Amino acid sequence: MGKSHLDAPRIGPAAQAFRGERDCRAPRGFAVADVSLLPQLLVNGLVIGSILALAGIGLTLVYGILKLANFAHADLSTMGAFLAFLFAVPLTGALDAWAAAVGGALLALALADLFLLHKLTDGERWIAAALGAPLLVLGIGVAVGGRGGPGSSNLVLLIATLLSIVVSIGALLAMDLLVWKPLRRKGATVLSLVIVSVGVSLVLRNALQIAFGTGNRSFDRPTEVSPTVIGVQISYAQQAAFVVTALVLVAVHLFLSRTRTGKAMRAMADNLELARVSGIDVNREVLHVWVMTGVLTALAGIFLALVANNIMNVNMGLGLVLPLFASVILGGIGSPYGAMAGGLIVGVAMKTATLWVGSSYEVAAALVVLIAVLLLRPQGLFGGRVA
Amino acid sequence: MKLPSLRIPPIVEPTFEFVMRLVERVFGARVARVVRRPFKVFGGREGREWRTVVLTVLAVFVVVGGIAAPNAVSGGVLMNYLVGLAFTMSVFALLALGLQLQFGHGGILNLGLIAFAGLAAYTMGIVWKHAGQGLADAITASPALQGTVLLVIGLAGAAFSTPIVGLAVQRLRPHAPTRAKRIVVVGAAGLAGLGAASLFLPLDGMRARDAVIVLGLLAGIAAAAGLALLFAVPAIRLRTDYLAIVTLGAAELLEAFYRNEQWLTGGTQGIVNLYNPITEHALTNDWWQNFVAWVSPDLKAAPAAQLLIALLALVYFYILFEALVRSPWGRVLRAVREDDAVAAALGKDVNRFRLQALMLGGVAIGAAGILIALRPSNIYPGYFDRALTFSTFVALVVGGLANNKGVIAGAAIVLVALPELARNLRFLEAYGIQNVVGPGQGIAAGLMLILFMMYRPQGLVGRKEELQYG
Repeated sequence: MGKSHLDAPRIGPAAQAFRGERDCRAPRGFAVADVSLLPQLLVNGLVIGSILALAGIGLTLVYGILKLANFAHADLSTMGAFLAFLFAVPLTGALDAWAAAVGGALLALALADLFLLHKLTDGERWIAAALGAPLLVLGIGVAVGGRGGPGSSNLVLLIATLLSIVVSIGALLAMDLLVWKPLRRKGATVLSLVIVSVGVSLVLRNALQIAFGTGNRSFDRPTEVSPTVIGVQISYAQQAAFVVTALVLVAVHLFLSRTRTGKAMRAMADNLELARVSGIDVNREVLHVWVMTGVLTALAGIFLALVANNIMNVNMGLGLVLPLFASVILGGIGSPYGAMAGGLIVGVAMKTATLWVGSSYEVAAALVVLIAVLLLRPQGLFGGRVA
Repeated sequence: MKLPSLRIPPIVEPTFEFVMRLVERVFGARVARVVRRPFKVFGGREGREWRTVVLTVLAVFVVVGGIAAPNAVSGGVLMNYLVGLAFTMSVFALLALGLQLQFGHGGILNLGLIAFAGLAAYTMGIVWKHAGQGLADAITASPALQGTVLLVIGLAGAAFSTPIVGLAVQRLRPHAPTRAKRIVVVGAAGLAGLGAASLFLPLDGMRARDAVIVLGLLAGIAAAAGLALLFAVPAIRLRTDYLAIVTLGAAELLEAFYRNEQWLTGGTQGIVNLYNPITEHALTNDWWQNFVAWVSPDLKAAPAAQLLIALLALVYFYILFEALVRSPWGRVLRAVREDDAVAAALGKDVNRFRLQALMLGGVAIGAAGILIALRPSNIYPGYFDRALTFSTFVALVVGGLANNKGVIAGAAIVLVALPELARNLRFLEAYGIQNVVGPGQGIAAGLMLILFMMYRPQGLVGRKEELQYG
């Protein structure tokens, strides 16, 4: 630990492997694999798998309930990461007080309308709340957390994460209102939803590219030496990703199994018509699904950036599309628990595959898993439905 | 809230009717009928669709050319620019035409279409890079090799001319005895094969190099068709959305392969200095030089030749695919798309039809990929990335599904007009918004896709009754 922090960030072979910098291929093709790397790759796989699990829950619910194979889902994670970056950059001057004031007013309007006025539609209320809440939190956050460098302190990062989540939710609700809801009303088929989602992904990714450029951006975190646990390097970000994901997954489990809303979601994913007949307000629950999706995708994107040495890129979601769909289909469409298990399996499969093939081909493992599931057990491990 | 459907305002037809009424008034009904006759071709639905397509393409070229005109140094510069745009349009229309057969008619949502184009181009490039001049020299030296190469080229010429000859015979003498028609087709195709082979005589020097590229091209097209077989193994039975995911993943994997296997594909540096027979011949052929100079003294010979080849390829595949989708085969294909269970119950081998559509479309897409690579005479992995897949899709949806004419209008709008107009977003750089051209184009394409899907799902000239989505 005698090194000064001015040295180049030290990353171990595993971290290099994780970032695709280290070629883990055995020198002689497929014959010999360096098995000593296995524990490290397992850990990396579990970390990336837990991120896949986070993002996959939203995807599987949306896929199951709205019949929407959302090709823009991975780009939503990218958006979450960049929003956190945006909010982590400190605001200047008295803007925080203004932000708090305007945000508070908007939020108050939404709440007042909900309980007293009843002048606005549901959607308008959501938009007011979605605009107001992040401004309020931002104002308070800057007042409390101070203005360091972007993401320099854990507190700033935490607030930025919260803000990113809130804005992601708002964006998803706005998207539902503008695009998915009219299409649902029209009775659009699976196919047209897929095509529209490709369009949404194009718009999202390119808008992010205009806003943040094509290059890498990073949370300005202090470089730390990854601690070694029984010969395996696990960075603090990886530990945090693992712990937070575990907590979130437990929370999601409790939410889905204990609360009325969660049960309604599961019922809808299981059989939409039956759920509707048994008195579930489907339109309302759809909004809840989007809220949950917003929370989880934003978290997934932020952790994706954190475990990749704080680096984020506009195109980082692209590589997630296939693994995400693979894990969701593996777990069974519409099954959140399936998505968790599927994410972990696909993540581990992708990372352990780098024992034999170059790390640029790790997506091949996801493809193989996907094809195998589709051929052998198209309903997935946890028995989603096959139309 | 019911979404309104946008209508294209009728301009041409009322005007035409008005003129015809004037003619009738002045010259009488008989003359009017005679005048009308040649315009019958443009009547009815087909005519309306063609008019929409032609007007769209004209509008695109007028607008784009008009914006570029003030900056062009001379008329010649502008002309070469427009020739380049026309080439781009033809190639991307061919790309979208292949997708039209796969998706518009066959209902196979192929999100990995660029894999076909990339594989075909790379196969040709690899043949040239690793065999190339050596093979050309070997061909020049060995008569046996010459014979084999000429045989392959002759067979390919015969194979590619057969459908066109067959269509022509069927159109000109539909009621002739089948046997006579067969004899004529085989004879004509044989002649075409002999003609193709004789073009390469004597097989040495430049012609040997041409022959290597042609062999590479044939290998590339075969590889594209083979890729369809490979895709089909896991994917052909799947639901549309699964199929989209699998094809997307496979295309991504292929792209990773191009980028990483440096020894074979040149990695990110790509394959450069590809021998381009079109350019070479355009620059050495006196007849073509004279012809181009006659059209315009400023026009460059090589790009014009490339445009000609691209247009010929587009017309060839258009005629072929149009005949295919109107044939009983096309009807079964559409039946499979609408409801495969019904088609299967009627005794049709559903997966076979899907596979055939995937392969034939793949061949057209592969040909387009080869043309994409031949223009700059090099191949980079970046030519064949996901962005091109998506923009081709947008072009298809904007042009209209299940109508082969649509791809031309779609390619003109999405792959010619959008990129050229997006360049004008540069002015935003003065306001500190950098890097706005490419993303601006992407956003416009994405918005176009979303809006067309929501408000005009049949596209410009698509068949509303054949929509695969509500």
